[in-house]
Amino acid sequence: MAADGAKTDYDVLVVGAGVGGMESALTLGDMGFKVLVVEKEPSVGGRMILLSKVFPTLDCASCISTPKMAAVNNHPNVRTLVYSEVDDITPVGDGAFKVRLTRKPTFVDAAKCTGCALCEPACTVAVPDEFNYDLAARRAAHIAFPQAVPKKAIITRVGTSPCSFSCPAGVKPHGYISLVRSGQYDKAFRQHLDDAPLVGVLSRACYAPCEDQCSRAELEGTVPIRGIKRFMADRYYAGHPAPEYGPPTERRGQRVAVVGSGPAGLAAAFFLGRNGYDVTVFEADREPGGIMRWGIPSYRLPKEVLARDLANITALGVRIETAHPVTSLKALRESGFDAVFVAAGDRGGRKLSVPGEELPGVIDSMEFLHRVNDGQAPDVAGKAVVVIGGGNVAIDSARSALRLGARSVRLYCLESRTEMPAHPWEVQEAEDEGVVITNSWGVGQVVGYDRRVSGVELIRCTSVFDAEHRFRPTFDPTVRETVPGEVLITAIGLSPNTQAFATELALRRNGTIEVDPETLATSMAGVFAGGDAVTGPTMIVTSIGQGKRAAFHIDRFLRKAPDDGLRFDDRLPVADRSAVAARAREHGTRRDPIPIVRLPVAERLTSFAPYELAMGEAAARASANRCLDCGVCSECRECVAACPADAIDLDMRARHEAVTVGSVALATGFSPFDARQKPAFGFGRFANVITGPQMDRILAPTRPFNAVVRPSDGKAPTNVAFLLCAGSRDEQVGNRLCSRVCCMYSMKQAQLLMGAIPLADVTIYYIDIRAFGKGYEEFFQQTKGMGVYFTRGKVSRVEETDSNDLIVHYEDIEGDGGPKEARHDLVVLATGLLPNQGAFRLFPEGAPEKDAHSYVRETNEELEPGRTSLPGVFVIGSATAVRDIPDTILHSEAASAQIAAYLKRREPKPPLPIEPASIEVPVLVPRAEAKA
Amino acid sequence: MTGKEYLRNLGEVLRDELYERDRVAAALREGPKTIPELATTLRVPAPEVTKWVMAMRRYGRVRDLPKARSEDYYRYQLAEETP
Repeated sequence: MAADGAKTDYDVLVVGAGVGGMESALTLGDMGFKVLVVEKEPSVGGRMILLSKVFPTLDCASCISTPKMAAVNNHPNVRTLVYSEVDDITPVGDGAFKVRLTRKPTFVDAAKCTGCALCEPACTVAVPDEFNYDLAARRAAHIAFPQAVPKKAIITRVGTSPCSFSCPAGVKPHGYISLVRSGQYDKAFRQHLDDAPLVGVLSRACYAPCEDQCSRAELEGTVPIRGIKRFMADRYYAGHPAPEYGPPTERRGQRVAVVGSGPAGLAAAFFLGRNGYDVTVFEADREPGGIMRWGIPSYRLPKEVLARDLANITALGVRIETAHPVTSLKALRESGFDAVFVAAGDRGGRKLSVPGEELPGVIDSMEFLHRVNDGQAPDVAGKAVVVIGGGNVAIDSARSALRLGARSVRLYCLESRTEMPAHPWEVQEAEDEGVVITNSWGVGQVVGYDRRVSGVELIRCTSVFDAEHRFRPTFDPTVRETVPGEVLITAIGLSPNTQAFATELALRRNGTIEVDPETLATSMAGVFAGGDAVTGPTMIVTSIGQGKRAAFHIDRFLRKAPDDGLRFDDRLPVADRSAVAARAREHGTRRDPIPIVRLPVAERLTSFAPYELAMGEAAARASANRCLDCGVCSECRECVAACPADAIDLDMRARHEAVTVGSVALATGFSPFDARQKPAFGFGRFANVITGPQMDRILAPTRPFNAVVRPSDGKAPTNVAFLLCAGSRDEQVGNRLCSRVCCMYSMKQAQLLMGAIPLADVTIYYIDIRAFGKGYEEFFQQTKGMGVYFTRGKVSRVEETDSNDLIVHYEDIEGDGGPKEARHDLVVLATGLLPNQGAFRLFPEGAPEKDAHSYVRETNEELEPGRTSLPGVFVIGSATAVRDIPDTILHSEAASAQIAAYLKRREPKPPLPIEPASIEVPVLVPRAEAKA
Repeated sequence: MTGKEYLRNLGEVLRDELYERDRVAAALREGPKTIPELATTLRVPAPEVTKWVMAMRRYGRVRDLPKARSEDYYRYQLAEETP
């Protein structure tokens, strides 16, 4: 219960912790009221803490601000929430308000973070530093500014980068791309390995769904993510012929069996092995690898790459027993395994089910590729080969047949060109190599001659899918064609390898294993399943994701983790790639993709050697530098490694709260004028045209540069111009108000500049000087006395010279008159302050009224400062009018008194004795008397 | 006059620091340099080099040397490199 006795959680909500908000919170807290302060930035202090000094006393802004910042953060009656937003404020009757707010995730455990800032140099993403008004870079992992209160790191994340979001295996391409960009190649590899094993395999044979989602694809073309991965994997393996690690020392003492050594099984084994489980992989074939060893030709995936990837798994102590088929899961469990993961993959191709299919010369694609990969390829040299199917396996078979010397290879499939399941670039490469692809044909029968296949009778396929996009091919039986062929390779789909478990596990109609989609648990306790045996034929990277998911839930199963709803995959929503691309278009440079080099076709067809060449270091790094950092944080986890306090928590998510308050104080401050609205002054075009707030940062002890230097080339400026009224008192930009502070802060900056660079010439271009406050006129005279030139003249435009100096064109009002120009090496635009419209959005059921200039209107600013049109809602400082710091302090104190009075009036009163007979005529009494 | 229409995309310039910093470091290994000297060596615009050098300085890779009052430019040198 709040101090006023009303049933609210807090007496006052203060929105904004700038100087006004802090002052009000402290005053009300000192009075005994319970105050909640909500600040959207990661530190209290507002804009004042970013100033160099304050006028007219030239006191250090930090020295004044930091005690208040610490006080508001530690006051017993004040609860301060930084990096939080008020979502909405609604009245709930009896003068109170319900406040919904969001505590944005900082991704750093504030209780653990010591503010050491070691995460900053480790971070691999650079972004403009808003606390230095974009003059310099900061990292995604950062502490807002040196005097931040609380001094805790935060990590900027605006979602999961689309590449990382799209990876079924949970690989974070953005992470390793950012590491490659900064030349940390081995770290990039290790980061990938942390997310998923089989890095070498994926670098060669992944279909890279990440590249389809790359925001750069909306500009010049996708970042070649797989190519970059190939570079880092090749480089790492060249430098590390054996794994860097051994089995984990901490053992779980439980055994897990994995059935099948394809990508799903190996991924599960990797993660379980890394977790300390004793893992045995049972493989029916005589070599491990499943589809990766037997299904993918060497020109796409060299077997030595697979072997090196396998070493990363067996190094963890994982045993792989080959030539060991599993026929009973029950027996496997009873032999001492605490859990089983079934990843048996596919057993072979589906049948055409047409006459003639049993003829010699007809071969299933999986058998064909198995024999090719086993060094026992069927003899197709000089023969006409026909391939049936439109998927990647069909394409692999066709291209392999060409490499085996086939006279011709013709591929027929049901699908039209655009419907083919094979990836378009693979289809194109097959055609480049000489495969003739003919679409929209099905097989009527296999034609034989002399008890061998001699051709195929084809039937025109009129459609492949029905209206619901289910596979329901239809044919025109009147259109038939027979094509010759001495070898027929069928590649029309794969069957799951689950027959052995049909009596033990619940299977679907298509033979795949039925599982819980989240946990991958099967119908048998302790048995999980994944990969093609569950999903049907899919990509390697999807199967790795299945294995990873299974390992997560098998671990939970074995640890008997409570059913707390913890999910395997809890990524942040995907970042908006269109918005990212749009931002990149704003004066971004065109950076075309560096093409991956492939061997000439004639050279390719002479062997099964890889035809795609690895990127060199320069190309890989330049390609990585095309990344747009869509989600800002790349999830490279370098900050995790660097943090000595183990404070980084990338799984942190937003938290929502609802509280009730007795009153609301809006201390939402002002919005700075965007100097780009005055294009004639050159801000955003000329490096040495900066704004007043930027100049304050340059002059501050915590400045972004090493000294007072100009942004174009680090030169100490010797001739600086200040242009007053840049965006204020200006109908052209819709702001006819005087900003009240620009004259004074420009004079302050001029004085500080002359202190920093005594030889500098400083000129202030002004219309008139408004030095209205206590000590302001003296400050003006002091500035003049120091030798600052005051030129009364309206500046029309600024131009830049080849040496980045600036020519200021102005109309001389006091001197000779007429248009003049002057050369300076730095121009400071004294930009003004605008009303912050954010406060009005907080009230869905009716916001406080605005004044004529769109500030929050005070209903009676002379007699009741801070009161708004909404009872119980008050406004503080520059949220209601432009104010300098002394005026803001004064106003916040006045408003605090109003708030206190309001809260006191809300205190419950003892009921008056009711004497009905005596209350017949209403009696008007003075307000003060009535309160008493 | 330059007749410039805009400065290059700020986010892109700042990202480039992570890509270019090895080149900046290599140039500074030859000896301390001012930003215009670095810009000439690297053949990139000085305003962008300023951004990169200041970021490298902020994160401890570069430090500035004292400047005489008569000099216009500070010189920057490589901070001790960590292995």
